Amino acid sequence: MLEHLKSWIDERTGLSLKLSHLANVAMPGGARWRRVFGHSMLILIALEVLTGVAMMTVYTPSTTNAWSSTWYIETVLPLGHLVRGAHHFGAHAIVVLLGLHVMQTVFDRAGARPRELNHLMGLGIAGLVVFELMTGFPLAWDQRGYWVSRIETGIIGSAPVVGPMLQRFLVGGLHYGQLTITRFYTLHVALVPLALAMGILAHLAMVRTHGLVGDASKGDPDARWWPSQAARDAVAALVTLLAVLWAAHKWGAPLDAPADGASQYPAVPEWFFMPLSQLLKHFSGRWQIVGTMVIPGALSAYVAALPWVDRAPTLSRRLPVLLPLVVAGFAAVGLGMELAHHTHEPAFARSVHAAEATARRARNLARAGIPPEGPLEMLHNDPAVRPRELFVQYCGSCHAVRGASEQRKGPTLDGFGSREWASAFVAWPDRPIFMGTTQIHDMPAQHRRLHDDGLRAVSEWLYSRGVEEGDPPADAALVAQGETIYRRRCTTCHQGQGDTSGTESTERDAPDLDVWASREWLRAQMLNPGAGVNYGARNHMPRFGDRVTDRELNMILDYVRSLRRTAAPPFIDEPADP
Amino acid sequence: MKVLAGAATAAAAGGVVAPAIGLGVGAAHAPDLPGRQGASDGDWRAVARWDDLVAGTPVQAHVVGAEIDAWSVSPNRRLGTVWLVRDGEAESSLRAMSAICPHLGCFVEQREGHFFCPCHVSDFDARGRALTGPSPRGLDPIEARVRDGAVEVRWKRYRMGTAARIEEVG
Repeated sequence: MLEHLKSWIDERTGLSLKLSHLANVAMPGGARWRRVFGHSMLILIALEVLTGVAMMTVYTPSTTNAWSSTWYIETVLPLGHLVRGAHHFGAHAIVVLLGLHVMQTVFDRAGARPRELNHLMGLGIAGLVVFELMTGFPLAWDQRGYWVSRIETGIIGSAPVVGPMLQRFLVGGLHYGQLTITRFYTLHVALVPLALAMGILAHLAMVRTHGLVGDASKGDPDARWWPSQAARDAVAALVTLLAVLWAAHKWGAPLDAPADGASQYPAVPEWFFMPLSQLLKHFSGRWQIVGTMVIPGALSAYVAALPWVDRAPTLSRRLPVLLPLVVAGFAAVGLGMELAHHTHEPAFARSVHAAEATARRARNLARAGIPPEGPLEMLHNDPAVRPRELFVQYCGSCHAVRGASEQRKGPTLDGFGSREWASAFVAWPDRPIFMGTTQIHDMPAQHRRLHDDGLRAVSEWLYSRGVEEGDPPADAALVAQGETIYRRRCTTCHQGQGDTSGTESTERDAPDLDVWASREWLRAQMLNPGAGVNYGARNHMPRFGDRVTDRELNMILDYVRSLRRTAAPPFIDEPADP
Repeated sequence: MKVLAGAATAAAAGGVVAPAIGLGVGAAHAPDLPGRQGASDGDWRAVARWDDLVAGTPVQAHVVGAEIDAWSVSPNRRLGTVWLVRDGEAESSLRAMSAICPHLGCFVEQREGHFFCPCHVSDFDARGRALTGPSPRGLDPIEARVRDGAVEVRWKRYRMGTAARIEEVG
């Protein structure tokens, strides 16, 4: 039955004859392990195509969706981690195999006449493969891909004459943005693969035309591809594939924080560009082009010219010609090690550490869903980080908070709203950590006037003014006691709700403490600190009403409110007198 | 007849390829949106308070404005970052420099009063002059002034990797 089907197909296609031609390709010099790399690459290319197409069913190339859809593939979709990891490690394995394949063909002089053109075509394919990786790397639109790609296109742009035009064409304008993703995506999934497919087919067709190169005087003179080379090819491909899948399963492809063009990022290129990247650092100013174009260009031209220059009969006489390659190999390893050393310097390592922390935060935030404005907006509005950033930005240049700001143009806000803060302030308001550095010095120190018991009661009352849901409750008896002291001894200056002094609100300049440190009190203080119910005419704190959005204001309030619970005040260390 | 066959084939090939290339090149030149006047760069933008600057200590400030990216316009985006330096008491002592490394565009950091690019270790002095490393020129100065206590800058971007300072518009 099967035989019948086979002959039916054969009669109409001549397939078995074509296959037997392929299987019977002559292997001069016999089967060799060092000839397996090309075949393994073909298998991995198939893996790249399939995993790539699989990801194309989900991945969305836009500034707001690229990172998000990649994260979705990586984290949410079943097998997504494996597919993306296989695509990633498969690509890197292809680069390794490509290097080995080039080394093998150079060593065996597979490009010698009449195969020079195929040698050149092979190098062209190698260039396309590297370009394919370069266009794929930024597609996740994460920090590393984005920055490395920006540097790479920057180097392309520094090429004489055509550089700027080429850069514009790749980037889709002057700056990285939406069109950059679209272009890299088009190149990565359509143009470059198409060119690669045509190139590889032509490369293989030329191998068929010329036959393989080998020393026919050694080994079995009748050696064919099938089965001994085929077995080696298959085993090598299987081992490579398993290694790729294992790495994909174990490590997966990295996903850094969402790309942010206005951020600090310690960019390190892909491993195969590390030597070149390090080379750049050795050429300053106008000599840059030596590192970016002249040396890599000369090396490529040299490899391209090998079929014409590497023609000596014995290996020992070939060595002088091959020496530059050996030197370049050692130099590449040396430069790579130099770069690795540089990335371990403390300052650089700190930046890497910070970048990793941001990436972890972004991946965690994404779990609750990414807003339509994109992952960068999500990260910028992270409730765990943004309030503090806003505080540092708007308040930190005057108000100290440990770890966030050390300025002292206004009272420290460490522990603001807590009993301890209130007690220390009431006792010594003119300390440098409180009003000492401001223009307002009217309040007398209360530590002798009130004694410890009075201070405790008043600070309990002050604490109770701003207690919200979730705060530890105030002691009611102590609050009542404190309120009595406050009403009797403080309201000459601190006038507020319910006071009957008749002072015009515009003439007041001691804050109303009835809702002290509550959300409303803080909001009023932010919006108009010079109001009569706040610090009056001598206030120096700017109004923030028109400088922050409502959303930002609320986040700052969140942060300041959180200080009463988290920041234990360091008041004890302060000297009693300025 | 041979000439006609050749010419017609070449013309047909051109007709197939040219429109595609034309579209690609056109978009690469970032044409302006028809209903929007003026580029997003070039306006004076407040980035910090003069009082917040301490003489001799560079401060990083984000330039915020509408970011135009092909067809989309996003308000309140970070267009870039500047380093602000105050050299003395006078407001005229204010200087601003772009934090974009003139070499290949990484973010320039500040270390003990001098500037430093971590990507390819270019080093700049406190005034932004290139000291060592691959950068072909010093940090790019950004126009800055103080108005009503606010530090304002005019954001600009320059071509990377060239010794000459060539402004990039678009």
